[in-house]
Amino acid sequence: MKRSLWIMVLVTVFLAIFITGCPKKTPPPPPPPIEVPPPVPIEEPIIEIPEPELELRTVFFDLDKYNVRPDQQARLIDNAEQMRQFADANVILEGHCDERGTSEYNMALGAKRANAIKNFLSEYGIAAVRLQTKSYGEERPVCTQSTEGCWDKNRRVEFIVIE
Amino acid sequence: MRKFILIILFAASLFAQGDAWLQISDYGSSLIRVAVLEFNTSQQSYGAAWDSTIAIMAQVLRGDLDFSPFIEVVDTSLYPKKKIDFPKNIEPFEWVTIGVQVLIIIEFDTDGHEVEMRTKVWSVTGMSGMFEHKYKCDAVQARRLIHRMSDDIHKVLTGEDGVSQTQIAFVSTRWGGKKELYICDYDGYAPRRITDAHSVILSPDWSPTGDRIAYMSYKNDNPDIYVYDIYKNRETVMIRHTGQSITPAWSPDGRYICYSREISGNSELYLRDVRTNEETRLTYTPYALESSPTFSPNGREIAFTSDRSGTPQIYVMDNMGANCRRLTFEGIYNDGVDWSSRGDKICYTSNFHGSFQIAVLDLSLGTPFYLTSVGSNENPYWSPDGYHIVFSSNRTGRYQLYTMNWDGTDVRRISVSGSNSLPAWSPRYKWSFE
Repeated sequence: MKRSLWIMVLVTVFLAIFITGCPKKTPPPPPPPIEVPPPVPIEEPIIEIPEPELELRTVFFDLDKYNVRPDQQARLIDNAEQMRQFADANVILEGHCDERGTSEYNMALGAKRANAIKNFLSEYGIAAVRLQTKSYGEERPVCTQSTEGCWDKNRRVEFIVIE
Repeated sequence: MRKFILIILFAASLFAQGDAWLQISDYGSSLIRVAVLEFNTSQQSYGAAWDSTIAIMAQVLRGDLDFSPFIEVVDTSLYPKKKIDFPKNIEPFEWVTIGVQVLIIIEFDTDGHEVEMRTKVWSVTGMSGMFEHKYKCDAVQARRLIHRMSDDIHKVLTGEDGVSQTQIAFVSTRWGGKKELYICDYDGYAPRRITDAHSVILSPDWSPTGDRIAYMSYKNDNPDIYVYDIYKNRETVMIRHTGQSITPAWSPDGRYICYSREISGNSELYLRDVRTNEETRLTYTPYALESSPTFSPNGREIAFTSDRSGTPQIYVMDNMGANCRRLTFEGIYNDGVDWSSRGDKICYTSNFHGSFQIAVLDLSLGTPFYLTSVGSNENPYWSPDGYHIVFSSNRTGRYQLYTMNWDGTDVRRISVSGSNSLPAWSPRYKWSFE
């Protein structure tokens, strides 16, 4: 008698326990998703390869002359070589004179100097379409002193590179 | 004894040849000596501003008349010291003793807006009137009216028109250091800028009617020839080629512009028909440069610069390019020739003894004479009456403009600021004030 009572109590207890159960442990919420920062783009180091540049040097002349001086030939040939290398480059040849002489005649003389350089370069194989000529006469001096040194610097043809 | 005299005479003759400097300083009896009296005003005073303006106008009139090589204005300090009440207290003796032959009497009146001047030209020796005229204008035009009066008086006295009603076009760097075109009165008054090229302007030349100026401008990145219409205040491109177009010169009939055109480095002279735009080539020298042409006053010939002999020299050819002959044989560099309206002389810039000087060549004589000697003197241009030359000189440092008589006398500076060059003298105007 007593044993069946015990068994009932035990069963009831077990059932009670079983039904109510241990406090259910809710499984812990899943961890929030870790914000993964976007991958950092790896910056390619910019290596500047210097492009070879045209460096065309100014050519100088004697007083009242437009012929290419022997001592200027080397730099002129160098300029021509560079222009051969850089086949895309077009150039304006700007002729200038020193302040002696009249402004009017010097306009014509400057043009003659620019053209003498153009002819030289053409004979060297540079296409004439790449060479424009211009004269500024004595109107655009690089220096203004009335000295031989300054005059020497002004009798020139400059190479202006245009794209 | 006779031998001795002969030797002396022979020796004296060796010293008779002078150098090529001709100076006519005494015109003798051909000088007309005038006195310009202080203006007679109907009011005692018109206020300080007007009173000084009136005194200035009298001075301008004296300057205009004295500018003529044939008229001498006697200095006011020599005038009789009394208030002249023409014709009541004119004592001929008082004027004759100071050498005055002609009196100029102006009666002046103004209401502040308009100016009225009655001009009388009176001969002292003949005790009679030579000329009388009433002039009227707006107050702002008073100075121009004085110039008009002066030319009328000049005509009465000499039979020729004066040049007080003329302008001078020139190149100046006074605005930002760039060469722009300016115009001022013949005496330098009121210079005003005409162009806006921000580059280089050279070689202005007036059309024969004085309504337009041709010049070279680098405004469009190439030396082209533009024309400015002074009445319409408008600039247009006249000549544009791939190469340079420089040194324009208008023909006396206004139909053509002769200029220097550059093709592949070679500069030749071309004629451009202004109406049809047709071009004619005049020179054919592949190894020489030609530039700076000027027409003879009858339009039949053109003088110009060419370096075909090795250095720039002055040549002349007919207006179609034939019969070319050289004119200058002195000096290593001769350029910038201008032909006098009288037809007998050319003036040009010459490097004779190491510096540039103004030279005049009488075409019938063939030998040049040099009018300047101090500093560098360039770009001469004749006045329309052929008696004066305007030029640029750096004798005071920067290049300034000067006028002088055809023989180098009476040099007057007419510009002040900037560096000024390449002057061109306009034709005569006849200003009206109605």
